[in-house]
Amino acid sequence: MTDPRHAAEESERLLRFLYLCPVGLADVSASGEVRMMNALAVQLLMPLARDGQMENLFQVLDSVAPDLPQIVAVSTVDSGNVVQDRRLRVMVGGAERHYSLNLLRVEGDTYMAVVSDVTQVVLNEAITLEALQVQAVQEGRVEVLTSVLHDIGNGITGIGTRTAILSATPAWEELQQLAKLSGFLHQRRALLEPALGADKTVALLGFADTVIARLQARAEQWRDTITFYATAIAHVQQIISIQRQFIRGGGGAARSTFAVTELLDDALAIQRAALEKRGVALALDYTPNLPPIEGDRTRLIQVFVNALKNVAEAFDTMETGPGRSLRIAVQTVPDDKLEIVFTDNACGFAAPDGLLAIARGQTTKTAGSGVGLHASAQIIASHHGTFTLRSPGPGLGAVCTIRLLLRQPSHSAVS
Amino acid sequence: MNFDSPDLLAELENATTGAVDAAHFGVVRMKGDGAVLAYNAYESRLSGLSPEGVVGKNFFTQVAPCTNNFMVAERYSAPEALDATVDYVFTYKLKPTKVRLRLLKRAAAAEQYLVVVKV
Repeated sequence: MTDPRHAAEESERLLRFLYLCPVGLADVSASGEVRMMNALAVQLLMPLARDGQMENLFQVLDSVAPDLPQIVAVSTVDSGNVVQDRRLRVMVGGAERHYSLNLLRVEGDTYMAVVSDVTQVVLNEAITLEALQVQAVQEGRVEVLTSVLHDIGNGITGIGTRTAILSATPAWEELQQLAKLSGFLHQRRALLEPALGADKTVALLGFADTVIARLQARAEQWRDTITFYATAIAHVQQIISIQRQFIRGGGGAARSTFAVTELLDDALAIQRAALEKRGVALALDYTPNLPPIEGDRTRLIQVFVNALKNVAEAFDTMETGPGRSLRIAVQTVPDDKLEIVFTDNACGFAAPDGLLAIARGQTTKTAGSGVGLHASAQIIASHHGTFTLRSPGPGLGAVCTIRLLLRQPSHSAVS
Repeated sequence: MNFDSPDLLAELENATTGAVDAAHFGVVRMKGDGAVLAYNAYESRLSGLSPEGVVGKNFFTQVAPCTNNFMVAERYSAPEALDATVDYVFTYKLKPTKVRLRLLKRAAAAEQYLVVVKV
């Protein structure tokens, strides 16, 4: 015989389970008449109910799903989903919420409605969709950029080949022949003078020597120009090669182990011209035998290129003059970290305690967007590192310090 | 006690447990954070939940989640005094039941009341 007290406890436990069920449930007829409903269903649906009427589910949802009666009427499902994950946008107390509605036919005239608040899911989906769209645009840009770099690379290679051929060509043969002719005339001067007269012979030989000297000077200039072009073309080819390498690796957050100084040299190859143009003397202070680091090369070089670009542009607001310098130091520091420090004597900036609070939109430049600094700090943070920018004050230079873990934690991914 | 009495809050504050249990409407006495202090016999009978199983639990999240929205629960969060009547639906033993609620509390009081009557 069942203990009445035990039965009451069982009943209360079942009721409590249904009251606290975190999904709204309702037992309704084919016409929407509500026979049973749990507490969460009321919590979610009451803000939609006109005059507090909850007798009919279809009437409650009329403002957001007016086609429900029709869907049920024409459904041929004997048992199973009639409506599956129908998203409903509702206004609850002045705030937009998103519900998910499922309607299952249990049997005959018995349907079960399942309602849940999926606002956070919808927001996450929107964020994911936006990220995918941004990624698609980025991938499209990368594809175009790869193609452009490929075409430029081919063009530059052609120019470089032609320049190499020109620089390898022996000195002008015509000039050598002319010099021989001049030497011959000088040797035969005694024969020329009776025929031309002494003055005209001197004038002829002098004219020949002058022409030869000028042509030699021009030939020298031409060789210097060719050498300059060859050097410049090699530099452009190096930059294109580096850029193509990093674009290829730009699709994901692939980690690898590499020497940070090599990455700095690549970044310098890209930005060296900008520094040289501004007369910035570069000093490298790399501690010998530095251990390699683990990280995403593509994203880290973005940080270094951006740091160098910021230094170069920081000199633009200052008067031109000697003494402009940038020192890049790399060393290991305690806690198994590698420290990269960019120290310049450019315009600096004013900040509380000399430390720039890096946030999106925060910049030290008059026309800067602040995106570069923020992105750099985020990339370093994703490597479990730190990125700080300090300045003693305006006109007193700045120090950008990047600290990276030599080994990323094994359980984490650089993301 | 009368559900519509303008002095209902004072009457509830001065009523004995027996008087509250004898009321012809549901009475839930809570702390300011929603923890149930008393759950009268009328409300227990309709909901099927014993007072022993309810006292100490948060009314809005652990006893009657149907009230956990801007129409009921959020109205108690304001520091001002509250005396509001709301037409609502409770799911007594899963059966949707039209009710009228009276939300009662004094300004900055430590306790608050939710009073329920079937329509």
